[in-house]
Amino acid sequence: MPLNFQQLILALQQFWASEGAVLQQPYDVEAGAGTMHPDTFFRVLGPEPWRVAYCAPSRRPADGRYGQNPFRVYRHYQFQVILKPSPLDVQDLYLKSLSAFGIDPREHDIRFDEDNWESPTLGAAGVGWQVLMDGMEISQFTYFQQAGGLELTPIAAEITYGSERIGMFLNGVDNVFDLEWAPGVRYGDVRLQEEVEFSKHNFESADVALLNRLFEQYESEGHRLLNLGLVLPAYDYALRCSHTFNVLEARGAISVTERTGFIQRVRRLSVGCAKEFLKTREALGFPLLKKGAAGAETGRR
Amino acid sequence: MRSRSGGVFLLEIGTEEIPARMIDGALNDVRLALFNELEAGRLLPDFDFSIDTNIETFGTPRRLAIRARGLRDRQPDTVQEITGPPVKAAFDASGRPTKAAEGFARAQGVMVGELKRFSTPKGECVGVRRAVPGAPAADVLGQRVPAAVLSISFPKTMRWGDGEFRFVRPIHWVVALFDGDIVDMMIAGVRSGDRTQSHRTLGRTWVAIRDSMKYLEVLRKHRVEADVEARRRLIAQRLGLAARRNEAVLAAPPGSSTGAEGDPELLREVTHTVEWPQVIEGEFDATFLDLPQEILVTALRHHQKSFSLRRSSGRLLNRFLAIADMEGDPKGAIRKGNEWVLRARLADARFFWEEDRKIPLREHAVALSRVTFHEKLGSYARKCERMIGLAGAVCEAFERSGTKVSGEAVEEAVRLCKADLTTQMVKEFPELEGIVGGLYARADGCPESVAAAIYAHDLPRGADDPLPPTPEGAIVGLVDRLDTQAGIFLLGIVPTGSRDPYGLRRSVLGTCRLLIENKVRVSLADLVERALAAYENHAIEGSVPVSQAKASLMEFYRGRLQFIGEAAGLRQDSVRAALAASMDDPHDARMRMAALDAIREDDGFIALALAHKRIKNILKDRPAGGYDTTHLKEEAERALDRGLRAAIPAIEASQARADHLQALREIARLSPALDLFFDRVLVMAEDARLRENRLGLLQALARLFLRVGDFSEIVVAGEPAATPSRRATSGSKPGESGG
Repeated sequence: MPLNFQQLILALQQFWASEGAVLQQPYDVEAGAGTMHPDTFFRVLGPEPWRVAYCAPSRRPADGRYGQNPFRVYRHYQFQVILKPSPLDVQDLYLKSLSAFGIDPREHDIRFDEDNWESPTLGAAGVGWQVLMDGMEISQFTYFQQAGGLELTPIAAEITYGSERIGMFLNGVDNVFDLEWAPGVRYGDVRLQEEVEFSKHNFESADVALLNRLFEQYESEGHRLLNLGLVLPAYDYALRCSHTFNVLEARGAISVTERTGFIQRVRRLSVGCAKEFLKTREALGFPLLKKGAAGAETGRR
Repeated sequence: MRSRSGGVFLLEIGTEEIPARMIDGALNDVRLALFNELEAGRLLPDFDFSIDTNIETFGTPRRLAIRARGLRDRQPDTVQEITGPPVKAAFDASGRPTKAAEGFARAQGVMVGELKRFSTPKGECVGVRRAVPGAPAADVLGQRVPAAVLSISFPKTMRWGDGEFRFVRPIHWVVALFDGDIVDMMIAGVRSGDRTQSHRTLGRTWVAIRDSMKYLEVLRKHRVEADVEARRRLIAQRLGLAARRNEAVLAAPPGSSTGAEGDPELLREVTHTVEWPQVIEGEFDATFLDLPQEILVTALRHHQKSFSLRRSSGRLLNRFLAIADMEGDPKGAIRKGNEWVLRARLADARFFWEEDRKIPLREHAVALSRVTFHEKLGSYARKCERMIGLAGAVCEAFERSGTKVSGEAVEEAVRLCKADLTTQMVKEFPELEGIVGGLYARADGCPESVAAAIYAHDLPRGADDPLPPTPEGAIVGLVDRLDTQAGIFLLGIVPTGSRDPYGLRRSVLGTCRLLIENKVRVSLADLVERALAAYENHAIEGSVPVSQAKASLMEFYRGRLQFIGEAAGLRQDSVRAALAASMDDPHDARMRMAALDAIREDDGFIALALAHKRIKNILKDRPAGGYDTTHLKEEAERALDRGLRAAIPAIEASQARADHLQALREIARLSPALDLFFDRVLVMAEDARLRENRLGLLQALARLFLRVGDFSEIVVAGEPAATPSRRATSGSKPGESGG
């Protein structure tokens, strides 16, 4: 029997926990990608080693299809892994992880196909691949080069599994809503109503004036907190700005020319947070450098 | 291990997967860099060595390799002269060595008696001559090769791990062997050895390379085909077999010539994504065949890198061929996976096709005012307005050149040609720009002349692409390109060999081909001026003055026209001579290039080229002036004048028929009279009136020549010409950036 959706996530957690990763939980502020989780965005900065794995809901308002498209949803689940510094055998580890949920790399055509990643709102960019299995994209694999506008050293490897895609593939289902989540419960049973309602909200009903006001307020609150040295609370507001912007864009309320301006504003806040975070870690003497704490295995061999 | 044919150096850099698009460039770079290092390191033999035959490159996504044969196994020995004190200081009055001489001899480890005498610019000195043995090849390579590898210029590089090194992807191993022995070196923190890694999933072991000449064979045994060309042929052969099994041929990508087979671009790309290729055959639901073929073929090749099959009649099959990096597919998992993904892709394509057509193309065009063409140059809606303004002059040029054009169809097509940029289909498949607009226009019931013009206006994209089949399509393509070129040059952006972000090289090449191959007579300068003026009318200010934009764009055209002539196999100086006379009408210039290149075989023409050089030298920096036949004194100048006046109507008649070769023959007939003139007549006569008159005659002659070409540009054998240097450079050659 192929793994159902929750077994797949459990298998990934199990695998990466055994590789010394801290198992984190999803962050509770809306975000467009697992990369925005503070345990990725901040921990890839500076010299401290770090290994973390978590499943993160990723909200992309413009991708909503009212639950009618078999492959596309407004909110999907990314399983995210950060290995810092990137070990030399990171691709092998990844291939090994596929076996954890029942894919034998020797029976499939696994390819690493160039795909570089950039997030203007996070001031982040990386180089890497999309991993294709038998022609299907199942993961993103990125060596972070910059984050928060800062050049990174050491370099973190980020692996992002498209959980729904892999689940559908394993189970041979053509419609994500038919994917078994738990015995007797399908993905659609858990999520369909949410897809329908949020599609309506994002495309039709979201209050543009309110969202514009909120964006302004989140932004100024973020900068105020940052000035007080409260980096993590300030970053929450950067995330809120980013999500508000995404909803406004899905709602068709942002013109092409305005778009760049919004992105710059979120970027200013997140870059500010990154710089400040690095300072606070430095003031603490980069504790994980010395400690060899859980997840701090450098993976060097 | 060493053979008489010289030493063999093998280098393999093992990496994580290198982007397919970068591999050819990297192999080319590393070949040039290694050649330069071998030369600088004095390991090249004195003869029998060529970069093309003695240096081979191999590559897969996970390895870049290079093998050089016929090398010296050590550098040649050299003799070093070490100069000591002057003879005067080295010996005293009685000829005995001084302290200075003894000290020098001791320092050099020789007896004073062994000191030699050298004459130097500072006078005669004592000194020693010492043989310096050359270093072994392995030492030289170990020192020089790492820098050569790290000098490969990749479009994008990265850091990894501790972040200390930068390369296209992390380096995992280095094989470096000279005649079977390991050449010790460190590249990006990795120490060289003799072990390579086999296929990532098929076997996955370390394999020792013992004989560099067996490199490919050893890897093949471990399921890696490292020879790029062999891999490409293997894929092509297997694709062909699969196609024949299906009684079909490989479909060509949209925009190819009618009847074209295969997809060389996709073939090249997939070749660089696999180490051990396998063709996987799959099927998709036949109901998708309702979609236009262009969209199906693109959906297959764009995301899935799969080949489509068609009957010889042109009808597409609901089957596809994918390339896997695998040995086989016993459980059919790879086929099933590809079919599954393709179903999703085709469902997406159908969704876009249906969604986009919910409103007609005309309404999509309305949204162009919100689509930015360039942040400093305004929206696509404004671009289309400018294009309509420009279209009138281009239509007239076509009509004047004898081609019937529907001005209305052109205007309607220009209005709609960019509308597909707002469709989901083009957002998904940008390479279908134009084609999708044409398909939607046809579906909307637009006149076929309009739909066909939209469909093909983006052609030609590459040097080998077909042109739009209708004059309306060619005109839309011309005004589109001219407008973009004018705008970008107004911003002061001039493409260079390595930087051409707006693809202007291809765009200008496209304009030239559209004009030349449609045999349209135009004034390029006039069109460029109009295109630039349109921006002024839109109150769009450039970063450089209009005059500068015009001058640099025209100069850029000259370069592309030169490229076109040379790519057609014409001699560089023939092309230059034709363009030096005039390049304002590319079609005319192209004909003159060919005529000039052809007539060089004729007797007498070389004499004319030399005469033109002589005339130009005499006339240099002199103001233009006329001449008076009554003041021609000598018989030789009168004869030249008669010849000249007789030639003019004949030349004009030939040129009116666009027969430039005949015009050149008429000019060449003047050669004997001209020779006689230079023989008998003193141009720079004492008498000012005679002198000015003779100069005037020569000016008239030069004007006549320039109707076809500036013959003084022709390089005549025996003249000093730029000698090609032996050092390999990455300089351009015909075929460069073909598109």
